[in-house]
Amino acid sequence: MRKIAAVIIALLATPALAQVQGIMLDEPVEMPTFEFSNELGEDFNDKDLLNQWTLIMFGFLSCPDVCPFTLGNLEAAVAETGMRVRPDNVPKVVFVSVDPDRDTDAVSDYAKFFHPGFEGFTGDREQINTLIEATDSFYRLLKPDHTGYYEVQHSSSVSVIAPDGTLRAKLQPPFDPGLTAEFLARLQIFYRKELSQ
Amino acid sequence: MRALVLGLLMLPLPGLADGLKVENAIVPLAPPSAMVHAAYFSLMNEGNTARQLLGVTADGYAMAHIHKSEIVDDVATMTSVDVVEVAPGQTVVFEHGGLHIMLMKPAAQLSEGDTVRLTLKFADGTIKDVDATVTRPGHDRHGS
Repeated sequence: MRKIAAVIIALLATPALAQVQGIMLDEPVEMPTFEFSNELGEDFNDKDLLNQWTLIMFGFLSCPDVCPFTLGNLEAAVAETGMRVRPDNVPKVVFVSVDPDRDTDAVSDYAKFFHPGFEGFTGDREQINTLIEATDSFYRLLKPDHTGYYEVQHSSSVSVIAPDGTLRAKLQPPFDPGLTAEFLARLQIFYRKELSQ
Repeated sequence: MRALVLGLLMLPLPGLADGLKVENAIVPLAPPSAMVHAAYFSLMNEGNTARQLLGVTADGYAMAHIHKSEIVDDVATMTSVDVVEVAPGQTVVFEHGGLHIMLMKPAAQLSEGDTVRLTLKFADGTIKDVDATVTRPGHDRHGS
């Protein structure tokens, strides 16, 4: 985020109450090739980004607060978006675990808990790093405590990928469902205008 | 004297008498695969002295820790919290994106409507039991 010059879209009319729910990028960012998988044997790669809107969230399963809250709010935000855009423009939600050592066996199960349509994947460290870097995201595994448990720091924002497979925006906490849906609907209008020019 | 004993017997649950009140205690239902859960509540100090929450234990979990989530410069982090000070008249809210109880290694899968017994331990040696209700995520709150 720090590297990308961004236009901040405040979605509430009153500046004093403005809550930033997303940042639209000045220029689309191409995604590299990548490949993830899950315990169901499903794959997720860069070609899966084409022809639909995709929301990519990074996280880890041993995350008691931020990840479940974000996924719960994304579920509500996507439902709200469904009331504002055509059915084929409702974004797909992909949860990518940056903690494959603990999460490989359950990442899809975890994501689907929040909505049956959500997809969860993880992969090799190299693949994770590739997608993290491409989306200008961040994660870090902290040192284990005496029980072996370790925390994972990760980007809180959610990457928005357009149907041309490029990164177009970041959604930001607290992911208020209505405001996030409003942002996504507006982003899609910008995108269509750009395509028609 | 008899009236006093009767009055004491009629007090709701242990804890209220010591000036601490806990409300809205919940444990959001988590995916079966999740090895950590969270508990949230509001802790009110209705007494005249400051109280310090030092720790929590939770029935049905291997460990429970007081944690705080923070999002700084787009990075979500969690830190352990050693003590939560509650001044007289103050309410400290444990909520999404802030203070929460991290519950580790659930012994069993929970269902909506179950309760989780939390035992809050304070610096003055008192404890307070709280029954947190397991709720479906999204049915508690969405905003922050």
